[in-house]
Amino acid sequence: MSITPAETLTDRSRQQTLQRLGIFCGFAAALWLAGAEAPTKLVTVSVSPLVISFMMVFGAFVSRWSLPALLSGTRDTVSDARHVPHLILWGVMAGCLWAIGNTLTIFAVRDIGLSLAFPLWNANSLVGVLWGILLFKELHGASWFRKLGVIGGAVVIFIGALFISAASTSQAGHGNALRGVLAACGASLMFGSMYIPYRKAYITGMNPLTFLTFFTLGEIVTVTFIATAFLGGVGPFAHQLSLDRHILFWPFLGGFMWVIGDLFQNYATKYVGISRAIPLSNTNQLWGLLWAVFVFSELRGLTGNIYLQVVGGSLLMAAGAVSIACSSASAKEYVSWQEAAQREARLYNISPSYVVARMQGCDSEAQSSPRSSFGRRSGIDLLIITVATCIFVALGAMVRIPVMEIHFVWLAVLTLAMLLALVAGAIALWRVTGFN
Amino acid sequence: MVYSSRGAAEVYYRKEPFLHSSSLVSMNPSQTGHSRSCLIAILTDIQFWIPFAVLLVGIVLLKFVV
Repeated sequence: MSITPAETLTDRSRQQTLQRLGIFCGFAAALWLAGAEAPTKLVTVSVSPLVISFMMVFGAFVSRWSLPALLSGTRDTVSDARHVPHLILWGVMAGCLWAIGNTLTIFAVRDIGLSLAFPLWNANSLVGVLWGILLFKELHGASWFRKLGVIGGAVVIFIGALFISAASTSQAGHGNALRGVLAACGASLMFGSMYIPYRKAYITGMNPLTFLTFFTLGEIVTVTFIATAFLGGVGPFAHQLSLDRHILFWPFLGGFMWVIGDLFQNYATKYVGISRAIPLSNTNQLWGLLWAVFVFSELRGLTGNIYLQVVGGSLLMAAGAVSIACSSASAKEYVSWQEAAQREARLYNISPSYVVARMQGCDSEAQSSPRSSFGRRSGIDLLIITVATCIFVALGAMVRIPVMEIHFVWLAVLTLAMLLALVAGAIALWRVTGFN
Repeated sequence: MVYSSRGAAEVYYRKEPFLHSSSLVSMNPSQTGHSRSCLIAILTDIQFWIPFAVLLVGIVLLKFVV
C-alpha cells in the first residue's frame, strides 16, 4: 500500500478515517485491558504480587514477540527499526517506566488500599494530556470547543474513576499513608510519562508492533531485576515461582491478553495522540466493573448509596469518553502535529517519505507492505511462534482451576464482546493501515 | 509536512534529502557514524531527559517505599 506523499497530504478524508480508527482502538484497548485483569482474579491472595507482576510481564513479553512475528514477521520489525534506530532506546525506556510504575502500584495498594490508590494512579491521563500539549503540540490550533471536549472529558473520566473506586473497594490500608500516596502518585507519573516515548515513536512513524517489541525488553529486564531484588535473590525468586507453579498460567494469560489491549492503545496513541488515547483507554475501569459485578459476583449486598456511586461514576466515565470521541483533531491541529513530526525528522535525520507515509498508516516506499509479506515467515518467526506455544502449553499443563463462583453466561458475553472488538479492530487496522 | 496543504507540502518536499542546516545530526555513511549521530541526537534532545528524569524519580521513590 505505497502512496506518494503528495497524495496523502491533502487527504482530509484519510485523516478523518484515521481519527475514527484511533478512537475505536481507544475503546477496544479499554475492553481488552479490563479483560486482561480477569485471569489474575483467579489467583489467591497468598501469592506474592511480585510473582503475579513478573508472570504478567512474562506473558506480555512472549505475546509481544510472538504476535509481531505472526502478524508481519520479524523481518519487518528489523527493517522498521533500521529506519529509526534511536527509537529502540525510547522503547526500552518506556518499558522501564511501566515496570517501575507497576511495582509502585503494588506498594500503593499495600499502604493505602485500592480505593485510594487506583484513582491516584489513574490521574496518569491528566499527566499524559499535559505532556501531549507541552511536548507534541497536541490540541494546538484546536478550537476551544475541542480543547474543552478533550481536557474536560479527561477530567470527567478521572472523577468517574474516583466514584467507582470509592464504591467498588473498601479495603483499609494497613501501612504508611504518606508512603502509599507517594507510591500512587509516582505510579501516575510513570504511567503518564511512559506515553512520551509512545508518542515520540508514532509521530516519527514507527510501527506499534515494532515499538512494543523493544518496550518488552525494558519491561522484562526491569521487572526481573525488581522481583529478584525484592524476593531476596535469584534462588528465592526461582523457589517462589516453583511453589506457585499451579497458578502461573493465569497472570501469564492476563499478560498475553494485556498486550492486545496495549496494541490497541498504541494504535490509538498513534492516530489520535496521547491526550485522547489515554483517557479513552482508562475507561477500562468501567469494563473492569462489569467483570467484577457480573462474572465474579462482587459488590453484592451493598447499600443503595454505593450502587448510586457506581452508576454515577460509570455514567461520568462514559460521558467523558463520548466527549473525547467527539472532539476529533481539526486540520489546524494536524498542522501542529506536523510541526512536532518535523522536529523529530530534523533532529534524527529521518527520511521524510518514511515519516509522512508511516504517520498516515501507510508503508514507506522503501519498505514492503505487511500485506505483501503476509505468509512469508522466516525460520526465526516460526521458532518464536513455536516457543511461545510451548510455553503456553507447559504453563497450561500445570494449572489448577480454583474453586470460585463464576457466571459463565456473563463470561461468555464479555468474552464475545472482546472478540468482536478484536476482529473488528484487526480488520479495520488491516484494511486502513496494513497494521502500520 | 504530513497534513498541510498541497502547496506547503511541495515546498517541504523540495528540501530533500532532508538535511536542514539546523539539523544537529550530520550525515555519515558508515554505520558507526550513524549510531554516533543517533546517540548525539538523543543526548541533545530535551524530550529524552524528561522521561529519563521521571525514571530516576521512580527508582528513588521505589527505594523509599520499600
